[in-house]
Amino acid sequence: MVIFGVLRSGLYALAAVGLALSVGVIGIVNFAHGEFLMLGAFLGYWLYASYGVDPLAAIPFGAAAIFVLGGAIYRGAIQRVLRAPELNQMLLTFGISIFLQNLAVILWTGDPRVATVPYKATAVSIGGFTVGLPQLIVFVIAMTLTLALYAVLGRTRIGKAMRAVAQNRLGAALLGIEVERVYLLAFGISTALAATAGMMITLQLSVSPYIGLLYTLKAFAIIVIAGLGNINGVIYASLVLGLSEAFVEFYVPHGGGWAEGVFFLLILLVLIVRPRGLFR
Amino acid sequence: MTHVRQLVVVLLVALLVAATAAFQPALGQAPSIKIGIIIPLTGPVGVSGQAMQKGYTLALEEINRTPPLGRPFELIIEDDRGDPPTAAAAFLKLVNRDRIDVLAGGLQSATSIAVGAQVLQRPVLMAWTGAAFPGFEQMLKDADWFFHYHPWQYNNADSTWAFIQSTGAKTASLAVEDGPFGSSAVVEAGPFARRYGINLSSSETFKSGTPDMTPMLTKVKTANADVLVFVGFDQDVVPLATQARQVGYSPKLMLAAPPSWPVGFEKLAAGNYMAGMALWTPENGHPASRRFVQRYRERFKEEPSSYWAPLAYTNLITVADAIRRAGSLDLAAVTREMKATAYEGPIGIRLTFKRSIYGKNQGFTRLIAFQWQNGKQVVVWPEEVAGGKLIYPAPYGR
Repeated sequence: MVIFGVLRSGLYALAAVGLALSVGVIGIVNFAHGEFLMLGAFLGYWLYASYGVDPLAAIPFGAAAIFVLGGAIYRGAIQRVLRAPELNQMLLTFGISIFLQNLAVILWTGDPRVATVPYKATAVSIGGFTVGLPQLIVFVIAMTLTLALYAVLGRTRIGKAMRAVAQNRLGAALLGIEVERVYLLAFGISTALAATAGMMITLQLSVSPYIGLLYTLKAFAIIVIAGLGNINGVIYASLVLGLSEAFVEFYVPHGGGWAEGVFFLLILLVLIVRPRGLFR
Repeated sequence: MTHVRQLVVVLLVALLVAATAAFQPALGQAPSIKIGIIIPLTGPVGVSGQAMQKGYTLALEEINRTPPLGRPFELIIEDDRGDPPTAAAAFLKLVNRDRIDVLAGGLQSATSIAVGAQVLQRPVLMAWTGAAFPGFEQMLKDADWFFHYHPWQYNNADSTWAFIQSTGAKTASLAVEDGPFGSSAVVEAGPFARRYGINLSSSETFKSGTPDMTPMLTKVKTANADVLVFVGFDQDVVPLATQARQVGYSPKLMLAAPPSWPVGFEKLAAGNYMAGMALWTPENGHPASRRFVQRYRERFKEEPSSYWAPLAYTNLITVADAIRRAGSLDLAAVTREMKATAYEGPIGIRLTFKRSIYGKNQGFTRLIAFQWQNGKQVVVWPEEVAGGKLIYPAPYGR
């Protein structure tokens, strides 16, 4: 169960780290985060179904495409409400979420679609344990990308600029950092990471316009457990969520139904007992 | 002046005569028979509703070649979006503004209940395709004018466990999603399994849409039952098929009955030999079914993907036949003729309306079983409609 829990936490981390970036740097709670993941998943599916491109090979193209789309949505909509009350921001991103979901239904119908990659059901044996190959690949890529984001934030000029803007927007501007460009970049990266998570979902599951909400909820749970805006805590929080779900599903009778309640319970506990997050 | 007046009067009369002549064909046309249809064309189950719309289109074209009572059918289709209040409002519009003669359509239980509550107050012939929830049946138990085409949940359960018995299986595990769809299956599984002599070894729940079923499947594997009965939705059958292989779970048969199957499932190697229950599949070998599939392909340039299209076709054709036999639109007369329906159409099973547990006029009561065999849904049960043999034990991952 530890292995199952750890493996699922990889995808959770990748889905959540983009949202943490958006909350931490720009300060906007993006309810449409899961819909960018869904668009990435559809890109992965169509590239595979139409041209036979493996979703893994398509990640750079898909991430770049959704980066551009995310940037355009930021410029066209998000940027205009950055100084508006938080409720307006939330309603806007909620509206974007509904728009993107319905657009996907109109374009591709509500049917779930399967990218039948040849290794979808393959299992590998590692140290006496059998694990699913797609889950293992997704875990490795997700953790690599998440750790790469940490490295960018910690060691590069643009990463430090993002952190500076996150800490004090005005102070960063006074130091000559172009805050608007940093915001644009952060939002674009956030959506590109969501799209990457979506493309990796095509390796394991089916794709439909409705898959986004589940990952938005899980990503919210993770960033609350990590501490809002605490990008570094995302991996630990994802592990907490993944492991707790796997243990509840396996050890609690009819635990599958309880597993999703786990993360809402965790949110409640964290908000009551330690509102700044478990890993801050 | 008098001449001018006479001239004006003559001109007006001439104009009136000309106008009357111009509108003569319209006035001469018999008024249409209005059929109100409430189905979801958008929303999560919009795909099924769109399939129904195509089935209705095929039926309408056929009916209007020789219209009943010499009056063409006119379909007034309302999109309920899968939303109960929208469905109720659609019925009120159809009955008050459009003055429909017959109400048809229906897909989900929740919207059906919303419509049913309104129809009870304004009775109209209700030829209803949707809803499997027996609570809806109880709601309309006294309605003589209510004709239900789709099997009820207990009919589905009866077919499912009868099929399992026919395989020779002795034990079964149950894995159900934790919503109303799954919970009603749990309630019915015990009694029906006992009735057909199957020992229910274990029962597990999962959250529909979950990306990871490995803990649940690992638990089910320990029960080592002959058959896994999986009650979930379209998106759940992919992780079931793939992750069962990954955890090395290979019962003699995996039986799933999602409302429809994901696009591309036929190409998923891990899904091969999985069995399913349905009212109809495009591979149904009945001649009427083959004709329907052929016409559907020609008309819409695509394959019919679910049973909703032939069910909608059957719905409209049987209403037209009943009106034809009744010779009028009188509710009592049409109701009487609907009760006399005996129609063998594209579903491949003769449709008659009989009493059910609560309702007065129940149509189909049995599902068929099929097995995915190399990308095709091969009908394997019951024998009289089977197009191939069930591969049992299925060689999942073996």
